[in-house]
Amino acid sequence: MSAAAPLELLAEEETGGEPVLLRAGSDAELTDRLLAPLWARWAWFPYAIGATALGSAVLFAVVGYTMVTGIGLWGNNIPVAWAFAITNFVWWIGIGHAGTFISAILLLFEVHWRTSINRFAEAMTLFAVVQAGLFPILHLGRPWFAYWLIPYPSEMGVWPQFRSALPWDVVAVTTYLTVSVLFWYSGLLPDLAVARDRAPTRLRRQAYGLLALGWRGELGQWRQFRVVYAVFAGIATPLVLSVHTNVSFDFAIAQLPGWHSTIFPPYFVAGAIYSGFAMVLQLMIPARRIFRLDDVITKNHLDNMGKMLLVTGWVVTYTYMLEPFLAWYGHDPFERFVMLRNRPFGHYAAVYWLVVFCNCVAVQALWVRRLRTSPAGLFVVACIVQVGMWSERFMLIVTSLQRDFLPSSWRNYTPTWVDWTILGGTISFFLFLFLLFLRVMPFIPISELKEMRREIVRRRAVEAETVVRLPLAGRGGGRA
Amino acid sequence: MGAMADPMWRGPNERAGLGGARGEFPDGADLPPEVTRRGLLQILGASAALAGTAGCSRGPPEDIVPYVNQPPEVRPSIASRYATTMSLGGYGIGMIVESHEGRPTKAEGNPRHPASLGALGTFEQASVLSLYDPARPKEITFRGEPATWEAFVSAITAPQPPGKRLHVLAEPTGSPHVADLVRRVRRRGDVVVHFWTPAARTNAWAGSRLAFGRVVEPRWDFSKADVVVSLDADFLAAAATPFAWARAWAARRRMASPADTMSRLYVVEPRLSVTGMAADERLAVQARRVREVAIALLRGVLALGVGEQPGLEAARRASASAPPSPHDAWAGAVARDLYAHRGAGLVVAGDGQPPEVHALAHAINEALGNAGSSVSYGPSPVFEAGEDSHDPALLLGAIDRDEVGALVVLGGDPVYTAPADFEMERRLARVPTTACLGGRTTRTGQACGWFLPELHFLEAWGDGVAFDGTPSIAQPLIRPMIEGKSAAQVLAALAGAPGATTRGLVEDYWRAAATGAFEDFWQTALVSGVAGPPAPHADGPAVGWADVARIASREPEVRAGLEVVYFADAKVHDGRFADNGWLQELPDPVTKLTWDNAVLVGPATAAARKLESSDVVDLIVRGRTVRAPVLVVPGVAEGVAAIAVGYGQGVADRVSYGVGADAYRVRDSRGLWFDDAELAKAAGSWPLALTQEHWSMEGRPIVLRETVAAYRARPDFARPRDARSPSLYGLWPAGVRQWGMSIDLNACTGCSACVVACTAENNVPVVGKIGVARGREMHWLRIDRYFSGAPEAPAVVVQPMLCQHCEKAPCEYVCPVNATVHSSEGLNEMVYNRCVGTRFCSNNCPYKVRRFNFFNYAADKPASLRLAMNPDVTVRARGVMEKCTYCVQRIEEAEIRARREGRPVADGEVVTACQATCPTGAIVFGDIADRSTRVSRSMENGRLYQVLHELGTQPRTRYLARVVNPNPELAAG
Amino acid sequence: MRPLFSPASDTLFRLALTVVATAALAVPTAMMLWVRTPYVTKEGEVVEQPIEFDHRHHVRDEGIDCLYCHYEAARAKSAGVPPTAVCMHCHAQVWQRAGRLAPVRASFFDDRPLHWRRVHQLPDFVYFDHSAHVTHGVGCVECHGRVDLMAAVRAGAPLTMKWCLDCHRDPTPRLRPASAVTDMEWKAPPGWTPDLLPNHGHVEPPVDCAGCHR
Repeated sequence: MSAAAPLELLAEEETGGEPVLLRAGSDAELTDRLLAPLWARWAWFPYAIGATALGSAVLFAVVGYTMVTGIGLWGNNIPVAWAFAITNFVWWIGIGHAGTFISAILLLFEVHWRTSINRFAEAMTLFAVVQAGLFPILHLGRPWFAYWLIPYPSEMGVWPQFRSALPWDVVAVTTYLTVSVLFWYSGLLPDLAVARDRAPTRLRRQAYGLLALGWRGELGQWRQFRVVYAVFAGIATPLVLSVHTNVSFDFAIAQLPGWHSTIFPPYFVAGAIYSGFAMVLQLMIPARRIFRLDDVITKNHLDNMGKMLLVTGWVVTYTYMLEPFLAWYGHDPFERFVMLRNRPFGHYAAVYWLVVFCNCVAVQALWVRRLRTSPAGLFVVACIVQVGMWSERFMLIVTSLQRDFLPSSWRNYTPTWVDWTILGGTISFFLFLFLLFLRVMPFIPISELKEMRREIVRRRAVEAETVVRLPLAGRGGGRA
Repeated sequence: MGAMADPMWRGPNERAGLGGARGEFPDGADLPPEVTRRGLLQILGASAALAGTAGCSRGPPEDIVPYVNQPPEVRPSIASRYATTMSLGGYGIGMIVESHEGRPTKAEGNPRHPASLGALGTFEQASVLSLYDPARPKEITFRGEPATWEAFVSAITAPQPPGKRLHVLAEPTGSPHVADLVRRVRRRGDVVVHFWTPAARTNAWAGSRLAFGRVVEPRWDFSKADVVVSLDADFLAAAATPFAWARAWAARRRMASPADTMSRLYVVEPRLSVTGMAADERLAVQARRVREVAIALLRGVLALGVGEQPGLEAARRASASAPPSPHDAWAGAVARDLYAHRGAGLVVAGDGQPPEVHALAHAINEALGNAGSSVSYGPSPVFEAGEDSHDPALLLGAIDRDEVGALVVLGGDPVYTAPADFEMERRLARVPTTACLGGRTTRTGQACGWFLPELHFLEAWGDGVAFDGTPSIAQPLIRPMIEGKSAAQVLAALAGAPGATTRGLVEDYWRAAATGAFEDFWQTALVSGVAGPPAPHADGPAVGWADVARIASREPEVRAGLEVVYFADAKVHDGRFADNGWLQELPDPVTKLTWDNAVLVGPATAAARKLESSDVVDLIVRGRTVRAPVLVVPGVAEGVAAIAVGYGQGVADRVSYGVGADAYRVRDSRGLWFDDAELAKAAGSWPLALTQEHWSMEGRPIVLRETVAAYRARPDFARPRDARSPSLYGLWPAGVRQWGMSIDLNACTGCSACVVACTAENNVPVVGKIGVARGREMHWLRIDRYFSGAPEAPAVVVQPMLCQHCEKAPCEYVCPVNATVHSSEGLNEMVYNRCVGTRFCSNNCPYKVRRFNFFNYAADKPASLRLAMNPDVTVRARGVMEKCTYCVQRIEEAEIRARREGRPVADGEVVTACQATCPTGAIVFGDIADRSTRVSRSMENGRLYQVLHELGTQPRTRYLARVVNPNPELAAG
Repeated sequence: MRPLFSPASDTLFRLALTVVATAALAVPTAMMLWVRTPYVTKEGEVVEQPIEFDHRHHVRDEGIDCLYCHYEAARAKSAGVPPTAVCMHCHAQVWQRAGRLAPVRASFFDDRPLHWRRVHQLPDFVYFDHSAHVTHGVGCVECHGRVDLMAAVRAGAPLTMKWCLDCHRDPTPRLRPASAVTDMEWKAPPGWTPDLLPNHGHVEPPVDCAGCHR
């Protein structure tokens, strides 16, 4: 059948074997297909958005309750003065990393398969960072003085303590948020423009028109766009490393056994990307199913994502092996106690072994290609990894605090319902924002996809007629 | 922020607003309050603060309310101090109380007073808080209805019908003017006065009657003793004991240099006590077997052939014929040690032991010639000690024979505290007219017709006598906040002077008693806090060896089976302090238990009965049962279930309500201190709030411990753990005072007096049981206690742990807002008003001495309790970190004073609260840059070391390693 | 079809962007200025007092020394607002019928304290000690301003932390002979320098936090 030709043709293009694009269709067709969900009515949407909105409302209610009453509502105590809040912070900010990694680093490396998923990833980054941003303020004893962490000429004549990692956290997170927003938004411009031109109602056209900031697709605009996009990619790339490195300093600069460690920066970054990719999969796979995107998000994407999980999983596993070794090798009795006794066999041993299973064992299933390319299988693994990464942060923070130097001060930590509600609340607030994004934004980068297609096709100039024939190949399906 | 305000020192108008609604921190203290007005204000405050980048917005307008006529002794913002006396069980302790604009806030010991010597125990210090207890009864009532004093007087002084008499049940008293009033009342003829308290020293008195034929009290001088044997005597506890004892004992433990001699302390006891923790050799036996050990000791001593007093031979034979005990070997070794130190030994018996044991102790001391050197004898300061008036049987009998027309209970709570077989409540009901004077709403108060609120000792004039007979005056520091009476006033009313004032009564007595010009006497007595010399020693009472022989030969009962041991609690004593939040939250010196008592059992006993901590058991004694939690404590003798009395008080709306289990319910007059008992495991679990959950040192060098022999061999064995790492630039600027503290673990007994001192001085909040259970207790100073060795006979070490004021403080560089910083004088300063509460500092503190305000504890205080707060210390708001500051308010005050007078701060001018109250003087504070100061000299000791030295934090608070003095013979055996 | 946007919309849009940008800068700046305004610091704010007490009259006309009424200033933390009895020292003789002094007499004879309004208000976590300043030659006027010219007392300084620190970090220029602390118009006599003060004016006030926060 005729559609076969372009299929394998595009397949050869990629080294990965699986094609990155099926049923290419004409630009117009592709655009229509990818914009279609925007204009369509989704039967399931009201329920989903309603549920997540409710969850978010609960979150803000509980946050308000905490603000008014005090963080005594949480399970924290002395010595475990940090627990869920900081765990959630590190987890969310970590998740955020995959987006930038995909959209920036893979862009610079000109990896084709990033194209159709990078907007998912960026949006996810954004909303994850928003969740993360809640906690540094919320976890304070007196949140209304959070601004004291910002260096400004106070009439108290006092400045922040720059030797502490926390003021730098403020810088890191805010920078990261700003850059992610700009990067994401600038990438959106052409698609917003196309949405403006194709929107059914005048109101929508005006809305998208406003957002498109007057994008006309002139050559000059394209030139500027390219520059800006590349520059942001350039700025974002070091942030992927720097932000979580700084977050890791929140622990590494302490002398607490279990925190006081120089491998934290790479360890944290790897873990961040690990959980980030897991989250991308968790969001992408259902979307792919719902919007029948298997032609733009192909087995090739799944396969590559799976490989990324495997790689980052191994980096994390390596650090897990390294930590106890260094403790043993370093002969520090306190380190040894934490690494060799307390974590594997202490009060929270269950968490430790859960972490090992989720982050090291389960992921090995991805050696199997069939699993890597099966959406269901990948989804399950991704969920397991996500749980594992959260637990890892919990283990890192709590098991180190709960048994430190003087046994007289040893105490365990038990989360309260407020702790759990805030965790769950942020998850649904995250989903809420993400659903809104799906609903109103072109969540597959149309222009980039078209561009990629043309690239491929141009390189196949010899089969010019194939290109001509291409439009006929499309079944123009995919209308949800 | 306003929330952190302590408006207390501003003007006397604050006196208004007395009496708060809630009790002080019932367990609810840690429960999230609903969104209250306060909460909303906080939001407003928050938004206001956000509006202004300063963090301070316009404060609310305030008033300044000057006096109309300012009393000359009151000076706004300047604290004044007065000497006064508190009596407990008839024994007076002199104290100096600090007062701000007429609010007594802090009690410290009176150095001139022989029982205090500058130290003060947990009860005396915490009783300041009781003064402001919002739950204090405030008015005279009759059957619950408000009544008048006149009505009471006429009712009680009405002539009794024939055959009936007016009985008074008072607490044992040493107060001279009260004693005098008792005599006056008795002259009426129709009044009988009894004395009783659940923790009386009747055994000691009976014991001396047994040994000497008359009642005398031994005056122990531990400073003269090379060998001390305690037969279940907890003489080091800072609870209802003269601190002179601990001071003298510590004098022989200091080991300033290896050349010094060191006393050896043997302790024989059923449960682990403060003294037991300090023991060099400890024998854990059931209370009923202590007597065996005493006999074995006597046998051992006499066998070594001492003295030739008449009848001594009989005693020797008798003791030799006594059946062997499993502890003979141990006792033999101790006896040889005592013999080797004839005249410089000391055997002391505890109040919980029967008279025989006391008699045996007296006998051994006399046989060894210790009497006259390390122990002398004097009259008991307690009025009519050991006489019939102290025998409750007489009162009970009278009630049963319906000879009691009226009963006036002066203080105490017999209905609750009396042995169960007294059936006080039933008997009280038989008495036509009953009245009760009490400082708290008690069950007795509820059972009696008349109730009179008792004045707090800081509200009334009085006097007292110390253990050695030294009299002292008690002067009030505040006008009565309730319409109350003192015991003396009630007695005066019975004696026909209902209108007498407390001052009048005291003055009248001393006017007659004082020698020389009264005004001079009165002034010196009030200023110095001592009203005369100690009572002279009784001329050497002689032991009746015939009686001793009879005791020694009598078959010691060898009953098997479990034994319950009752003891007066280190925190609530006999229950009278159960409404005091400071004391309820004070960790027990031994078990670290707060807001509860528990059945304490040793590991073996627990294992045998499959019991674990927090299990619930029924304690069954003579058919009576009480349900209580279990706490497994190493060192409790096998077959012993020890339980503190004073808990489980059933009066609602009080702090003590629902706290712990009531051991009085099973206590029987035939087994007041120990008794046969049974434990039955009950369903469920009883969560216990312990401030220290992990009891092993995990082999870490936290408390260094060495035997005296090893110490003499290597005098600087601890030094390696004090070496300071070399630094390019000096540690501190030259010519600047550098504060530092040394704590001698040899002297520290873990008595916990310092913890209360710190709480009182620094406005440390109380968080309630749930708070402690969640690990949120706020004590700036805690006493860590570690066990090592065999669980049955563990070695125990204690270590006061407070902010170490590290030279290289881990907390400082992690605080993002510079809220904790190093001062030029080396203090690790905590600036509450700058703290945003990231808690990073606590995470990075290796000693975990930082405390966090998880809720707005201070603001939740009832208004009246705020009056007990120290205005010189900021009250911390919700969400800020706090910790030991070395009492920086005292430092600053001394420095400002010195600057004003243009002189340097003298050594010893700044005394931290913990140091001031330490009975053994284990804590020394001062300038470590000046080699000549006491603290610097104490740090020249070879035992000096830094906790967690390997971290390089270089603490300012350093410790002197513990040296123990075990008996080589026992070690070998 | 008609265009989505009018030609003006570009300008409007750019305008909007500029406004947002400036606001981002202006708002924090405004806040920082705001907290320095006398409205927040209460500097120079007149507080209604129960009695129209005129310092001009008492200090200038009658030449009463500050320490006569605020006699604790040299010895205690708080300078002390005088007890009513102190007012009556004079007003038992002079103006003993003056209507405006009725509250004073009432207070004195019915033993009801007067409720003055606080003017110089420090946060309660600040521990200020008058004696430490007065005895080291810090004139009243340095913090309280020309009270002798005030009909009703106003705060003479912002009393912000930075304001305190400025002097604590370099006190010498603000010092004077201890004998002249209460002199409202003291000018350094010719040839006088802080060097003549005891210890050459090196008073070394605390700059550590605990100096004021405990």
